[in-house]
Amino acid sequence: MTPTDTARLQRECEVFCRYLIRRAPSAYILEKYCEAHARASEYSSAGAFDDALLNFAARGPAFARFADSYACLFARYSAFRRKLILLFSILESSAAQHGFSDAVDGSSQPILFLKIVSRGVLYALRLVLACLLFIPMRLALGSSHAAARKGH
Amino acid sequence: MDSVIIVGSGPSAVHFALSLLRKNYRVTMLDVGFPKPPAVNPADSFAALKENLADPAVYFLGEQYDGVLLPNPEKEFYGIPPSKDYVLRQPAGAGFNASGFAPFFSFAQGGIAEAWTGGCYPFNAAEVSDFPFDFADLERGYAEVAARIGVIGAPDDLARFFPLHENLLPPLDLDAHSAQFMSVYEKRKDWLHRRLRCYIGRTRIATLSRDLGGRKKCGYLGRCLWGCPTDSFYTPSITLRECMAFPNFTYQPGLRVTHFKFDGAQRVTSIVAEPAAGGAPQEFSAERFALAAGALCSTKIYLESIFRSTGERLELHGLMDNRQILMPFVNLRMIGKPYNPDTYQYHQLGLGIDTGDPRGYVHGQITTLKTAMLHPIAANLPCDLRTAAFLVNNMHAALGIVNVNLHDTRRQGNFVSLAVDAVAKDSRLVINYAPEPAEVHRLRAAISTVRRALLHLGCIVPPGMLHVRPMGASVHYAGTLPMSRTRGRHTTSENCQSHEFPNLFLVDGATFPFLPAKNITFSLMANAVRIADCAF
Repeated sequence: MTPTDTARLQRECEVFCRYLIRRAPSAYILEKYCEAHARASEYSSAGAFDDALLNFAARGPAFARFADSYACLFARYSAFRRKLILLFSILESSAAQHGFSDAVDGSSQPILFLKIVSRGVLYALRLVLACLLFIPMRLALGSSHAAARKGH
Repeated sequence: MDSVIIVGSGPSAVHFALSLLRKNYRVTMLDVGFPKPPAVNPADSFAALKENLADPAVYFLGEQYDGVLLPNPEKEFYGIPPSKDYVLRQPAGAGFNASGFAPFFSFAQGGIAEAWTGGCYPFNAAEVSDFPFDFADLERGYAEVAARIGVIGAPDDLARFFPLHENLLPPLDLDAHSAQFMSVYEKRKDWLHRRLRCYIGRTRIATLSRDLGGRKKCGYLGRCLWGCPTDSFYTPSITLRECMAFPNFTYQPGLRVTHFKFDGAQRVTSIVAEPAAGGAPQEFSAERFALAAGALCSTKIYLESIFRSTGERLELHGLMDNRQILMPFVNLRMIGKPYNPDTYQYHQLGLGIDTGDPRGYVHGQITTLKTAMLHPIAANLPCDLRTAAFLVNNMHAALGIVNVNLHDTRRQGNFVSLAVDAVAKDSRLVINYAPEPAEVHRLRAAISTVRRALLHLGCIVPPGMLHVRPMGASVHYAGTLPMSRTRGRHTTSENCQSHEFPNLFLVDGATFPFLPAKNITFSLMANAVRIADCAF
């Protein structure tokens, strides 16, 4: 892995970490994220749209969330989505000091249900906007939705 | 002193060996025997492990990050964790061709049960009606094995399906989710019994609620999934260690048995094994021989032995396995509750459905989710990962899964044979399996009943999450060389003595003529004890 690759992965990890847990990754998380890319081949992109989605998401945490709203349904096997899941798995495997919390919200059940519903509504709005952007992009770059669902 | 060679070190092999050693037989065990790595930080709880390990990501995800479960339509939610990778490590020459069957093979010390979930479900009299021996003989085996390994259980509503036997230990403390589930069941069980013939209770598990021998009782470290570091949870390598203390026991690891040789009188004269690391084959002689390498591996050795001596390529019919259905559920009353990782992790509750057919019992194991990795669940939710993390965290204490098992019968079309490549001097096991046509109706009925039962207990099965596992996934293989009351070709006596080769015993699931909807490991161990008692 070249120093340029490492720098790109560290930048990527920082953005995705801020998206997932709203804080910068620790040195340990950065190291593990880069190490996983060096040891496993599953995280390389598989086409023009895959690249475009990843580049878009790596611009910042808000971009990552926007791209993820689309990818979680229509690009589940994309490199971007795989990288996010990798980071999630590293975070949940690590000590709490690295920022991953699996604590409950603490609200009463009715309040919690309201929070879940409001998050669902916000997600639906993001999804609609993301579709408006990414579906034309995907068509322009020549990658079909059916192929993406099958993991190609 | 009579000498016996045993092939394999799984649950059948080690309990057979232990019984023979106690009877002063000279026992040699041949095994590939990939060893279990030493437990890391044995005193740490699951949470402490993350804090105290220098590199927890490598422990939980593996050196090559194979433990990261990326979305894949072909894969299951959870596999074997990296700490148990050795269980599925394969030596050279263990190839197979399978159709309709996805088998697992283990060459670890202790076999595939090193990664089991501990369910100990004795067969009942109806379920052994095809077995050519008295149920009481097996019952004694259950009591003996329970005394050796430690089995927890309770005489509750599930006892109608699992006969009670001696030496049961009291159950462990329930985790909060399981306790809530049981309290609702107690209030609503009349409806479940009357309308669905569905019963719920404590499962029987091979773990300790009090100290046994040198093993300590369960300390609720929450590390069951990753490998119990204190041996409170039973695996066969514990009994293998016990065997090693006998002076009349020889354990020979690093050897993959390929075949046995026999003379004109059909007596087995020797066993041939190849070093797993490569090298010249070695031959071992004894008075009696026992194949206990697991139904498929033992069957391959049997097929290969006959092929090498006679050129005959046999098909052995009747392969069985339990169909399993995974039904994840959300317990609505537990949403938003905190979860406690310091609890026992595998199923503590079971669900039984009385179908009206004494052999058609449907069994479910109810596991409440605690320390399993969350990323496979979050990744499969239909929303972005941050929203998914919020949902999973708040539903963590409410998540559970029912693993539903169906019974299987021996059928003519399901067979095991050998494919031989004369040029490469290699042989592969060929496995063909097709479910019976009526299975789809049994599947639908079981799914519908479990879904209704869960709903009645305040739990929902999220749409699209149900998973029918491929045949082979349960690793309860049986039926290829069955016990028989008559001397049919390639069958065994009631004591699992080959009708073809009088000094050869088949001490594993290959001899079972019927497979109830129950994990067979406990019955394999009990049967091994029975054979050692009755035939030696």
